[in-house]
Amino acid sequence: MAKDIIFKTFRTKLNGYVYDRHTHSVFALPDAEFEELQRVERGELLPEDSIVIAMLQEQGVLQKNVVTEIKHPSTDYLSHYIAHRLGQLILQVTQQCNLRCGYCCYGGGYTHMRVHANQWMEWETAKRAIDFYLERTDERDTLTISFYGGEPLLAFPLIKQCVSYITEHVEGKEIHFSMTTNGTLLTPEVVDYLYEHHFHLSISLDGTKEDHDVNRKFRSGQGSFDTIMNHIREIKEAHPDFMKDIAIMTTINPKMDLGCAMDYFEANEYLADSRFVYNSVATKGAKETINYDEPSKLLRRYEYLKLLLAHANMLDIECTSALMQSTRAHRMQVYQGLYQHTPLPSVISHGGPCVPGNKRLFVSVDGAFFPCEKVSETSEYFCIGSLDEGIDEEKAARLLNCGQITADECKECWNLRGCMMCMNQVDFEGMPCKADKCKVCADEKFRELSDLREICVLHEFGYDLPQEGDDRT
Amino acid sequence: MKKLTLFPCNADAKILLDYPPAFKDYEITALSDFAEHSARLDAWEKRYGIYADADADRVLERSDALLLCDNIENLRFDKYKRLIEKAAKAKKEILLTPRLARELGELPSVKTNLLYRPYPIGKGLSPQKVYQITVPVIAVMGMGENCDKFETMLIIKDVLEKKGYAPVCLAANSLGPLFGMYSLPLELNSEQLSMEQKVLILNHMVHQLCKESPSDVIVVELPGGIGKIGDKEYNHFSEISLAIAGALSVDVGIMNLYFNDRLTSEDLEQFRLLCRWKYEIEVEAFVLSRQKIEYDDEQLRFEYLHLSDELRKKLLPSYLSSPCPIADIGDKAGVREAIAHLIAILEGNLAAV
Repeated sequence: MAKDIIFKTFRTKLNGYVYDRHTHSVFALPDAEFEELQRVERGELLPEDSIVIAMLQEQGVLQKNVVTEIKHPSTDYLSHYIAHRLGQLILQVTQQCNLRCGYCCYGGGYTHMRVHANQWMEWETAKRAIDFYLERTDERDTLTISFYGGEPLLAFPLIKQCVSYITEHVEGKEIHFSMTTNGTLLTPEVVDYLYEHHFHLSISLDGTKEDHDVNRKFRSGQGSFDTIMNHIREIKEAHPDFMKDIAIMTTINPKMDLGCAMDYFEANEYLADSRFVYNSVATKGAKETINYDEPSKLLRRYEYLKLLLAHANMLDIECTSALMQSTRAHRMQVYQGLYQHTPLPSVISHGGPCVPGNKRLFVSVDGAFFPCEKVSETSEYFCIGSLDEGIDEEKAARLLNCGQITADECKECWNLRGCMMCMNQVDFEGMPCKADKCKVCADEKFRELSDLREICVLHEFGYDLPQEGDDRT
Repeated sequence: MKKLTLFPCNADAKILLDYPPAFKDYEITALSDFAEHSARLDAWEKRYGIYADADADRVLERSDALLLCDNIENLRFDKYKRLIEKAAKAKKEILLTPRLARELGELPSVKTNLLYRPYPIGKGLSPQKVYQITVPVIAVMGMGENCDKFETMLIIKDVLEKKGYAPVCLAANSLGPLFGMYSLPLELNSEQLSMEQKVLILNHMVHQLCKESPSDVIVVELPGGIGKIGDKEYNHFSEISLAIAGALSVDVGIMNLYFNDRLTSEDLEQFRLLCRWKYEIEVEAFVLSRQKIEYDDEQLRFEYLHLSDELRKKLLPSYLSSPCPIADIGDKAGVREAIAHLIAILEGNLAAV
């Protein structure tokens, strides 16, 4: 039987709460009312027989399910985005790398991911990609061009050609260049160039020499730490203000001592001005199971607890770690969504997929188009066109509307509005099916429910939504 | 006739090409734009049959004067400054708006003509008195910036003139003077003046205008938006719109809305109620603009999508019923009909002594 009224109950130590899908709101209920809703949830009481539901409906919540169609609201405007509003252009300048990092997703340890290859983008391909991009960004006042690899600095001459071409052909818009590099090729000549052109740089560094070199090695097997730190010292000496435009990217992996790495970063004078970004090794598609030891898990839980205490005004936010940066941002996003109380429209889709092209356009070495650099380049599902064909709107719309794969489920899912599932999270062969996608649903629901519960606990401790610009964010 | 180059090819320039001003002294003979907009330049050259070139030297060779449109696309000012420098060196006339002049900062030793035409405020008026404006007033209002209010004004002016009326137009858009319109006084933007002072200044200006240049109707553009957009855009709390509504008793209003495929008749009624209670303006027609707005969470601002006529036509809710005429800005006949409805209301008013 179709669900008419969709909600989710949960408890904290102090209160029972109900999440209302229709208004995307959470509110506490007295125990007796909460228990009645739980009975409805368990199917022991019909919604139409519930006095509590009737009372809450009079206040505008727990309304009947209005969703008739699962469709992303940007679908009808996709042609416009593609023609006028392309976002970040990411050029895969090479698939080759001078390192062979143990956890690299291109190292052969992942299904459906390409492997390191001696493939290089030709200048003609890069030029066509740039022209394609410039022709389709007339509504943008800022252009963002990123260079990706492998190790992009192996193709430094091509990068210089691209930068020259773009700066010659752009007069009005701000141009932002960026790159993620393993840091081993940051010679003074390269650094001077990147500095002069205001590149935003991300350098991969996994902590102390021991933590870093256990994974991040040259093809010879030698660790890359010393080379990278020498370059960082040179950057600091030659261009001390450049360090604030450099992010240090750390891949949290089972072989590193995360605590040591964090202490090292904090103490290192050369990295004092840099921003730190922590990501975990990808688990999706990994051929071997990735297991973290207890100290590592404990450290993350400890840092998370500090974040919660900071949100509850029991700890200065400055004492929280960069390790929690993405968690903080996500928490804010969830809370701000709850703050809006906007009623559910009849046509909607879950969040997660970005508008292909509008957010990013990834161009592979041979000119194929993908929505970002994270998806599998070997999957036809993710390919949304090419320089020869342009962006295939049908394929882009299919990616954007991945919610339609589980349309029936989504229409009745309590987590429709909180779900942030992107197809990159889904493991599938060929084309994704409902079963493939549903496997990720449970994770998404667990995540959202945890977030909602924690937000309520924080609220009980007096945590209020910080305004934009508030230090507490 | 002086040969005029327009730069850049943005929505304001498009207005000048789609609704050519009755230039007495100028003829638009060249278009220029930023280098990255070469596709747009080519398209405009084909559409308007006017020479178009991103190269500043080539385009200035072909002109006697340069008209710089406001930087409504929020791009860098480098090329604006370069063009001014080259034009000044080549002794070309340079036309620009007060807003652009302010944004460009000091331009040493460069003579420019400002597109600004306020009506002088009369002398001998009682400084604290709000004079009754006895000429009918039509207000053109909108949800915010870039919702085609100025284009709506141009159509209203044309409809009125074709009906034999002599309208006087007060434009918020800097292009107004090119169409014989008066500019709203810059005092309305002053951070030093109080709301009361702004109301009196505008009221006195219009009172003087009505005395010295008799007209049948006043059409006034309310700049910006009539209210906040959610909690992300304050529209300056509609300060100037409130000042204008305080200065002039508006008889009827037409409201421009951002494009919205989920618009309902309830929304339209809510807009009418807002205008009635906040501004004492009865909105009797709506115009759907080309622009759709979306909030960008990364840039922390609203972005404007300039939708094509075809896309808007495809997405316009067919079920939409409106308490008063509503037309898409691309449907000129529909807009003219909506304006005719406004005029009919005014024509139906009793001419009380």
